[in-house]
Amino acid sequence: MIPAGQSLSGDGPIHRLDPRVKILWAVAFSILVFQAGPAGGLLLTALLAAVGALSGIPFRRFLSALGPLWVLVALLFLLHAFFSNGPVLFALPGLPIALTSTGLARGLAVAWQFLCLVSAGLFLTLTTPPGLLVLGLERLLKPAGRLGVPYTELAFTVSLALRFLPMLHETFLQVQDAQRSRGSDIRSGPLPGRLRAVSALVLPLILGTFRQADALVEAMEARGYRPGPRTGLTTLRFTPQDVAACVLLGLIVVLMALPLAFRLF
Amino acid sequence: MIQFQSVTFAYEGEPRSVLKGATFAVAPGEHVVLSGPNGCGKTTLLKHLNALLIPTTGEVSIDGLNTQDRRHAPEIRRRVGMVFQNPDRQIVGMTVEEDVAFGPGNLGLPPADIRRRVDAALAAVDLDALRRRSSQALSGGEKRLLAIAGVLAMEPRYLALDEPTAYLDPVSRRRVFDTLDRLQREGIAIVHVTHDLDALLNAGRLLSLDGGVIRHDGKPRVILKEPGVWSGLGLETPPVARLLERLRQGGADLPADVLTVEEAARALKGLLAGRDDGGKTEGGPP
Repeated sequence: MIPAGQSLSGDGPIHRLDPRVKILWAVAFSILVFQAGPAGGLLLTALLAAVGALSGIPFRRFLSALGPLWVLVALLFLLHAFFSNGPVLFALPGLPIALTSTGLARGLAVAWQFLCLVSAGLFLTLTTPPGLLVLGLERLLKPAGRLGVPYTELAFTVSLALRFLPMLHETFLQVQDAQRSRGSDIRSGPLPGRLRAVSALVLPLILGTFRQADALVEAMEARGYRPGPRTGLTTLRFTPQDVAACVLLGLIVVLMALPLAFRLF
Repeated sequence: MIQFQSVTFAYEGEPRSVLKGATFAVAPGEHVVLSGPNGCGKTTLLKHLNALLIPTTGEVSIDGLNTQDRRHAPEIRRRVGMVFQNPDRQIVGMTVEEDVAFGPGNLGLPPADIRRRVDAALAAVDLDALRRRSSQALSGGEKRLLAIAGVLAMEPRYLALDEPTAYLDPVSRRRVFDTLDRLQREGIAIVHVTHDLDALLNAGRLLSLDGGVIRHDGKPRVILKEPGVWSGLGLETPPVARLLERLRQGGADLPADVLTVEEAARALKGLLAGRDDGGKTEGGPP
């Protein structure tokens, strides 16, 4: 699985799009996925496939980026398929659950929605360097600044979270190794012992995280950080391709949002 | 000029003072090393340079800007770049160049100026080739250099570094010290905490701290000659100095102030040359 906040380098049309456009697409897509009927669903799937092809991300890399989420997809499908009321297709002998046609349809729909959501998020993060992603988010949130929303701090917090997730994971592994070397292992042994091992792991992890946060605040202050607007290396500028992508998105939203369109699809 | 005037400091809620009347000055372009045993107050003193800590009594000023006045903090932090011991806790950007751009971005500079500063800072520490790499993917030595580049982008007059080579392998350590030497030659004053003997000898001045008090302030070589000073600094006498001391005790005519391998080699060559000369004058074989 690709670690959070790491994009794949490339120079395809999707990579070159303004991050604001890509964020808007991902958000709109995530809403439309829950509104679409079968025909609308097909249209969105085709769009997603087209975006995937244009992004130039190898299919295998995409699948590996999905990683353990497949388990969640399967779980969602099975839960809906076997725990919904409706005409029974197949009953499990000796168990009070059965595969129903309603459940099967609902399970497929939910699994598809989940996959679409995750794929849209992955295409966004895999084709956009984290710095640009945060900059795009900050620019999109800028109008909320007039309502007193601290949009620069919000965007900066996202950027820090992306930066420190891998570090947090590293700290977790270090504490885990230190505990295991002293005979406390959360992965083996009887349950009470494992529960004790978890508590022995959590406290140092929390303390370590607080210490890291303190040190980080100090380092940021030392480099002149103050809450409020900052400048950066990059300036975002709309290109004709960005305008075209926005127009296309607008068309799709209008097409799918209109009640007439819903009837058509 | 950095000036400390009778600085004492105690952390909030702690009765004991960590610094006790520190008075010294650092001129632009100077290279000062700060040494002393663990817990003697080195890091606390260093944090006063950057207005991260404010003296409990006494005064610290940077180019005339008093750190007590919070309005001066942004300018003081621009003039004094601070590099902490653990680079992982000070690298903010996800990529190398984004991290270097963090400081200039805080100054509100336009993107073109930030780009110029990032390019110059990365060139100064020789990390240009890694500019787009994830900051997480760097080696320990590269992370230290990135932390230095991050403060260089603020175009400081002074650099304060807390054990910049701790936990580094010898090659990475050499790279960091060479970078600091180059920066000092370019006119940036360096104040750094270290226990590295080469770095101590290489510096123009050594400030030693003991229990929050400045014990020594002078030329490193002169201070290191004083009896008992090594353990007071939390240092071990280098093996080469111990070897020559043994030889001296055995009757060899060797100088007492040898600290490095190069000096030992010169002294031993001199000794051997003297013996050869002695042999000739005593009518030995040619």
